[in-house]
Amino acid sequence: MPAGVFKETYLADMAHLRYPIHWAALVAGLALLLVLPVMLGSYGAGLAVMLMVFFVGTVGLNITTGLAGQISLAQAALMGVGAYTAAYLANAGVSILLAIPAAALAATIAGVVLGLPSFKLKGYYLAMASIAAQAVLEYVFQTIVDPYQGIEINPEAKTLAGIYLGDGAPLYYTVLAITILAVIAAANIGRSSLGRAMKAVRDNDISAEIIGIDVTRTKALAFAIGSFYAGLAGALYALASPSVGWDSFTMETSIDYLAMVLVGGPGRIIWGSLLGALTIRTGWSLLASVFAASAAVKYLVLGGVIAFFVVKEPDGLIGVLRRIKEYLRLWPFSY
Amino acid sequence: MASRAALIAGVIVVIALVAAAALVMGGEKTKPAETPPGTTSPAPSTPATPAETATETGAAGRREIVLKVGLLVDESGPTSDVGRDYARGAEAAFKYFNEKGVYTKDGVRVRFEYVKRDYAYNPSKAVEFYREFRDRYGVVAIVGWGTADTEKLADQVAKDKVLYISASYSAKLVGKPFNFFPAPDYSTQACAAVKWMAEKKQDARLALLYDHKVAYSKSPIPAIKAYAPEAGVEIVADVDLPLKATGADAERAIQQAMGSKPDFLWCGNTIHSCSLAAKALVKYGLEAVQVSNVWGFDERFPQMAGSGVEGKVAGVSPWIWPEYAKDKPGYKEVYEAAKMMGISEDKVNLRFMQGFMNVWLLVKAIERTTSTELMEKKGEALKEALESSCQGDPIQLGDITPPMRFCPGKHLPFTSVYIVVYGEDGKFHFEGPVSPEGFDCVAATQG
Repeated sequence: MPAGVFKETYLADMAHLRYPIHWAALVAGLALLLVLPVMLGSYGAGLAVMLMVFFVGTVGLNITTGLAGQISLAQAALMGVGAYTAAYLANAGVSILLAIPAAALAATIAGVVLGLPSFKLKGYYLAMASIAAQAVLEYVFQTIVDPYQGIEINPEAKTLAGIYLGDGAPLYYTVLAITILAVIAAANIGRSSLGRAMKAVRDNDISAEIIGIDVTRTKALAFAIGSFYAGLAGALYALASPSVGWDSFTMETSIDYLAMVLVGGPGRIIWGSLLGALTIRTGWSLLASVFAASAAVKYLVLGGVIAFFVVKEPDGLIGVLRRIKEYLRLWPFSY
Repeated sequence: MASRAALIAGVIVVIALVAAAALVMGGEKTKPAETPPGTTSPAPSTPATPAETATETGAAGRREIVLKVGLLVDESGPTSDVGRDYARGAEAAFKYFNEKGVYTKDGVRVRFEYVKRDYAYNPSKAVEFYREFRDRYGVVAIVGWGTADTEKLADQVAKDKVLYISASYSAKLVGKPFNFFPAPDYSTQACAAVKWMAEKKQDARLALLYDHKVAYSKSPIPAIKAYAPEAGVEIVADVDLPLKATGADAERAIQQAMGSKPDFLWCGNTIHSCSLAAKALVKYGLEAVQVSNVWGFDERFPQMAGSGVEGKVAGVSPWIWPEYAKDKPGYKEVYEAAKMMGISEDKVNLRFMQGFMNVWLLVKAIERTTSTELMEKKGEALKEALESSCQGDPIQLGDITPPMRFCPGKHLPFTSVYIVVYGEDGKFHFEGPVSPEGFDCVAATQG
């Protein structure tokens, strides 16, 4: 009888759940997620919903920026494309469950179109181009799409078989189900040939081209996938909110998204994004309650945190946690 | 060494995260009786169920209802120039009425427990705080703030049956069943200002200055554009002036407006932005009178705009300002409340009074309902109590407001405003009241 866990096939080696503890954690995690509304009450469930919305958006940006190395500061605007598409479709009588994928597709198209000039750019130039994209979309929202700063969403479209999906436990479970599906899909992207191509482009696009990777196509796909997730997040936001307004999709939110990726762990699509979203969302609430009268202090603290992670911890919180895990695993004989 | 530092930093971040999550998600349980009157953020409270939103307490033989109320304010955002004093006025009112005693129609005392949140004029944040008010604290009523957020929440509060008394007087709220305010809507106020301009000058030329993106600033614009030709006023310019304007923004806006040679300017922003516009108006020697929306003009205006604005600026106000009616019923209460909070008389201004008035309107609703109705129907009972003024006795906040009637489907309590002119003599003069009779400015806004 061999000791330890042996992987005898390639499939077993590549499996997401490789050890018994993974299975136990999955079952416990799912059980926890299912009972969360009961444990936390409707207020806590509402916070969890917003966390999941931003988690999905961060996953998207982590694919574009963390995996493919394409800096984007337009994630919030693309989220807005998704939210407005869902809102307009819902108000036209389309069920929100149909409007959600449509909204994600609309954001994908917008992301690719706006990203077209960016496919030949990199680094700071790319960041500047994405700021321009954010500004253009914000202008379109403010002047054409939503000139009165708020579009109410038809509650009928959020009702399925007599159940209102826009609030309480039904909202939580709907968003949870969509988030899980989105996360499973994202978890496989990094392991696919596309994911490897993205990493190659991120690390050195000239080398990537030399080994036969179509750099422009890879960048386009990275933008498309990131935009899809942004649109999905926007549509979920529309599901969770009584109305949508352009104020939710500003440059500040895009910076928050980038902070979520940098603080959580760039390239660590699932756990990095989750940690980043959790840190920034709860961090903002904490800062808001501590520095209620000074928005400037909040930005200073946020800037400091981002600077710390960029300079000292480029792998983000997930990297720190990994080191803590290693430290504990080897303790007390770490040398 | 760096690795160890990072490790320690990581542990600290994780601990902070867990603490933050506990703070935000949880909230320890506190018995309502242990919470002092007028509890403010971030006092924890019992996670509320609908049955707990208005609870009965009190010593044996004495019934008391504890009413949970949300207070949504902007103390740090772009409208904090007027929001801070408003919040102070509302808080003073809660304390004042708790001390003085508020009683239902059947003589049961009601005590307020309010939860304050500063949403920094971010409507998305307002939605999050609304959910917190509703789901965590189970509030029965909310004393709220801005236009975009109040409009955004209007249908939701109706669904949840939460009474919402806002500092936004948007015409779009007039038809919303659970939204109230003790003033004419912005559109009616602006139409009255246009009427006043028409009376002051024949064939007057009017330039509009407001933030083209912000719901509050834009709110009365369709009504102004619809009513101006009827009143004989020509709109000659429509200029974007940011709510968070800098001096340069204001100068640019005034220069742009000057090209059309206006007799009057309408400033649709708050006092910071409007005072900068007035300063620029003086600097460039524009011969026009600037009339500001209700949040764009108050006692502080001359000081903020600087010298030279005498005779050149005015503002809309549905009420006489507190300094000019100190000893009248209603105003006396405002000063008394301020004194109770340790706020000096010179700090009592229009904004403070507006915050006080909104809470007072809630008090009036309580006084018109019975304890049984309040316990059973909560926000709906308060709504019906205010709407009882439609056919029954009107509501009046001392001498501050004229008799107010809120009718189901039309919460427009009165339609007259004063035009407060800062005269050549360096004093404020209340002209009017003016009312745009014969034209439905609310309908013009709602399309």
